[in-house]
Amino acid sequence: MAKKILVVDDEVDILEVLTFRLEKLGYEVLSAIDGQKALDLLEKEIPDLILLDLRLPVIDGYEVCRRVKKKEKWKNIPIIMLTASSAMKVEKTMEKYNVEGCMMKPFEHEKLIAKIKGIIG
Amino acid sequence: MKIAQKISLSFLLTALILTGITAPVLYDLFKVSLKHSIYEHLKTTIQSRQHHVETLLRAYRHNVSVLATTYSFTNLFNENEDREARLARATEKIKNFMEIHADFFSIFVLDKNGKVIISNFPQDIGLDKSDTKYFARGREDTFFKDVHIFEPYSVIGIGVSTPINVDAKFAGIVCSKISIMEEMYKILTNKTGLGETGEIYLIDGEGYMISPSRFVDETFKKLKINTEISRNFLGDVKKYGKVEHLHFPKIYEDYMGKRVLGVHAHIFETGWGIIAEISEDEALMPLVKMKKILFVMSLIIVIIAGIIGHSVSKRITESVRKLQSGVEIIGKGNLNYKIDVTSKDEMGLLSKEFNHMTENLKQTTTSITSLGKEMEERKKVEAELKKVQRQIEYILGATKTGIDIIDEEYNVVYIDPEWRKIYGNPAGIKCYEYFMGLNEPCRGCGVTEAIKTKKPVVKEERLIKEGNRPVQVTTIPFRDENGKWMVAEINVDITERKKAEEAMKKAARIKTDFVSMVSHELRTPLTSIREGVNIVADETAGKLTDMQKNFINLIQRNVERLARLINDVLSFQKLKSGKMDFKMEESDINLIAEEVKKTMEPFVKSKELKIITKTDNKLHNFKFDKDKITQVMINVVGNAIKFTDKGEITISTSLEDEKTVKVSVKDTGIGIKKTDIPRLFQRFEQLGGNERKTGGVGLGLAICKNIVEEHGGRIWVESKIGKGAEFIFVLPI
Repeated sequence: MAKKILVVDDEVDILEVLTFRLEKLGYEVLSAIDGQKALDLLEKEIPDLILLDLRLPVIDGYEVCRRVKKKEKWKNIPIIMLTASSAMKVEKTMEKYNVEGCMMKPFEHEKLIAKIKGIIG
Repeated sequence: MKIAQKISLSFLLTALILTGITAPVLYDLFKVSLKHSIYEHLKTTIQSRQHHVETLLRAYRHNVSVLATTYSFTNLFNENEDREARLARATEKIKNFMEIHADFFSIFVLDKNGKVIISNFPQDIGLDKSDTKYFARGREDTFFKDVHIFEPYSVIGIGVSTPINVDAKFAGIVCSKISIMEEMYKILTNKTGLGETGEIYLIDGEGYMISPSRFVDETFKKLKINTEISRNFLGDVKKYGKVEHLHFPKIYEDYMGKRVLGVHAHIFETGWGIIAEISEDEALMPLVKMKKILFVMSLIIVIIAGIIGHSVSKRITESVRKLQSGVEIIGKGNLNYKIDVTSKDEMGLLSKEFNHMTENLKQTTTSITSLGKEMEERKKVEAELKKVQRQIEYILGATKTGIDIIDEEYNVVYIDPEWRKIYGNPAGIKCYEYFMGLNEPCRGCGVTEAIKTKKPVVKEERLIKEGNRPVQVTTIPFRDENGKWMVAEINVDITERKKAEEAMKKAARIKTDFVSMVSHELRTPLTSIREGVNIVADETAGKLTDMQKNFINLIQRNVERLARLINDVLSFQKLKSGKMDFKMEESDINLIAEEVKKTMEPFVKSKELKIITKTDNKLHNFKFDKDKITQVMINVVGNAIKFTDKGEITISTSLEDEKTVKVSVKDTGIGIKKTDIPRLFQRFEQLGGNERKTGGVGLGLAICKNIVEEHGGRIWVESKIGKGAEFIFVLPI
């Protein structure tokens, strides 16, 4: 069965390129354009991984992250944060939110794929 | 006490002096009159005795005269009658007579020849008395034989003889020897008017006492009175003979050696003197009494004077004492004590005045005390003030804040001590010279401006004398107590601030330079990318599959976005650093609105949208940057189009008030969430990241905000989710 990845980003173009890439790699991709939509999707389906942009409208990425990590049925879903913030924050953010990965934008797609593969195969 | 003594003494002295003067005077007056009355009294007494004696003697004479004329005697020599009968008759007469007149000691008759023919003493009959005075003197007239002792009978008496005349012829002499001892002595020993010590006695013509003396025995014709009075008597006899004259009582030494008051009178009948004497003491006793009385009275007066004086002085000094003790009490500090002297005299007045004074003193001391307290308070306050002042000075010194006061003639009235140490004594020096070393007021002088506008003025200055140290000067105008305008200047050191400003400016400059540089650097590869993509996009480099075209468009879109972003950042930077020029020209906002509508209309064609303009004709031209305001409006309208699917977008202009123009863009779109509104103007890129359909050149809302605010206006949004949004900005005219 194909691994499901939930991609959350407010940039439509980024959603498009990521979806394209990941689908090409054989993953099933769910996408959400804001935090609320992401959470709604999570109610319906449990993905194997979440690619989470931090700057989101309605409910931002941090909040989504917190809720996911709190909820019993979600807290084991690995999260990779995508952030445009400075490199220095990456370590701190990862620790703070107990996420599995944190990548800077713009990212090198090989690194991202490698990471994803590393987590869910 | 001294006053009391003085007063008493004065009284006593006065009384003494007065009585000392009046008493003797009175005494003298009394003495004279008393003496006079005493003398008169004596005179009266002696006169009455004299009278008695004379009366007695006259009576004797008369009796004898009468006897000489009686028949018995006249017939005695009648030869015609029997001799014996005649003798018997006469003798009988004598006997009868002598029984009646007891003091007749002897009566006998002498015949012409002086022979005793009858006598009460039979043995004397036949005696020859022709050689006696009786015979010699008694033949013519009544003769008084001076007093003598009848020997051998030792009877003192006088003789009286009268001639018997028969037929006018001398016939014989009746002689009598009258004892004066009884009658005379009765008269003389009558004490009336003679007091206790007085006596009256007779003296004969030679001065021998012929009546008994009170004090001496056996004086008859033995004691010659040789006193002043007897001498006077004898003198008078010589002088006046038998003529009446005045006699004056005198005080002299009597025959006893005693001082007496005496007076004499004359018994002319016999040539005797009658002397009345009262001892001086007794005579003048009234005087002495009076003296005593006067003395006692004087004494009483003096004593009374003394008592009165004493009580008066006591009363007066009591007031004085009350005053004195009162003053003492008050002097000891009891200012509430009232001196209790209420007499309506000077003491009372003095006390009243003293009490007033005390009252005043009390009030004064109270006010002094309260003044003292005030002063203490003031001292405390002053000490506090001093403390605070020192603290202020310390702070001023520590923070390098200077305070000075300057008047409108630029004289430095006050300079704080710390500064004074640096700049010196400001006396007589103008502020521009003192602080800046200039000869005339500084250009843009804060003092002048503050006094003119009557409002505080804040300026930055550099202190030349302190190496151009930068200070912020707050100049505050005020009026002093005389109404003169002055300023107080507070000079706050802003060295640090200036440094920070410099650093900031520098940082900004660096940032600007950096941003310019970076954006420049960014633009370079961007150009390559864009061109590269464009080449592929327009299939110049070969045909593209649909999927390829899709992603190439994605790239193109994002390249454009990147290019815009870089521009926006630069613009924003320019704006922020003030390098962007604002061309403020008088333009018509309504015209701009119409232009914007025209520009944006193409973009609403795909939607069921309409753009409407509602412009206010009352608006006149005013100054604003045409291009920039146009860009703002385009941006706002573009956002409205993005978020509205159908309905209207209304651009309206209006005159908000006489100073403000309002421009609003209202849409009937989806509205904006309340929570999103705050962030709207922060982002300087466009809203809504998922737009593909909208083109829109324009700046982010942050830049719009900046532009509007640089005009002096304000921009905001009013929206409710689902009910559309209204973006409003106001610009000042």
